[in-house]
Amino acid sequence: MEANTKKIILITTGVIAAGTVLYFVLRKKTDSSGGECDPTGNGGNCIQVDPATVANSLYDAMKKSGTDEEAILLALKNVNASMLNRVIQKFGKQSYNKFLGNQINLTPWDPLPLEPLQVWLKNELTTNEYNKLKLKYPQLT
Amino acid sequence: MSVTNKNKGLSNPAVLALASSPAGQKAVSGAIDTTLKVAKITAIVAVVGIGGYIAYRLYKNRFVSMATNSKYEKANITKDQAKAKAEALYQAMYGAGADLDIVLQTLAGLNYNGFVEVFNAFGKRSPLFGSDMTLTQWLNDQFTSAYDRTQIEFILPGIL
Repeated sequence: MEANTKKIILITTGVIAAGTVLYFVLRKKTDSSGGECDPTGNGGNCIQVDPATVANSLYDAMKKSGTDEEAILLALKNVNASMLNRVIQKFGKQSYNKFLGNQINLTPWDPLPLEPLQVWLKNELTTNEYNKLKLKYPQLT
Repeated sequence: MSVTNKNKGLSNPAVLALASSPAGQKAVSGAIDTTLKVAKITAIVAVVGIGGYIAYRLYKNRFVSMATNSKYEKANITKDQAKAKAEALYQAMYGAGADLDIVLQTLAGLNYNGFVEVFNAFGKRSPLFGSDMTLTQWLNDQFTSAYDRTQIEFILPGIL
């Protein structure tokens, strides 16, 4: 009787220990850290940036001859596809010399055409760089 | 006195006499027993030590999966798609040189939990030289220039 009781206690303890170990090994990991927005920007419409600020930095990166590609990518880092539409809206249309890639007007009698952000980007970036933008923003053509 | 000092060890007549006596035999076999015991214990300690070290290395280098974050939307790809993406990323980065364009194409559009799925499907994979690395370690290992990293951060912020 004494030995039997001991055996039962041993087995019960073993089963409980094994069960605890299994539980910790097999349980599904959960994580609820991090900010409110999905950091990739691809999880719902979570606003992380101010479209006006982004539009300004893009304008600054492109307005002079020569392009700071890295500045463009950095400015657009936290802008997801739907957010880009608001940036495009904020950017509006700005006078642009397509041939020089800046805002210098060589013909004072004829003002420069006003171009939207898409045209600016396409003109300033190489095809390869522009294709990278298209990966993130399918609405760009 | 001077004789015993000159002849030491078994060539010492006194020691020889002691070794051949029954009590001497007992002492010799006892010494051999002790030596064997010590050897046995040393061997056991060595085996346990090496085994323990291997187990420790395996444990330390094990793949620790990433948890999906319940605060963000569910993964926007299936497990099979995650597997295919993990494979494509590995192919693009394995060996000499890495194809950043393919990496960007593969990562584009993933949400956070989608990336977690790809990370877990990737597990730990071995490079040509060196030890196994996770997807994040691979990306950090292969793309070190500031512009490369900016491009990855642009396509998928918050993963490097």
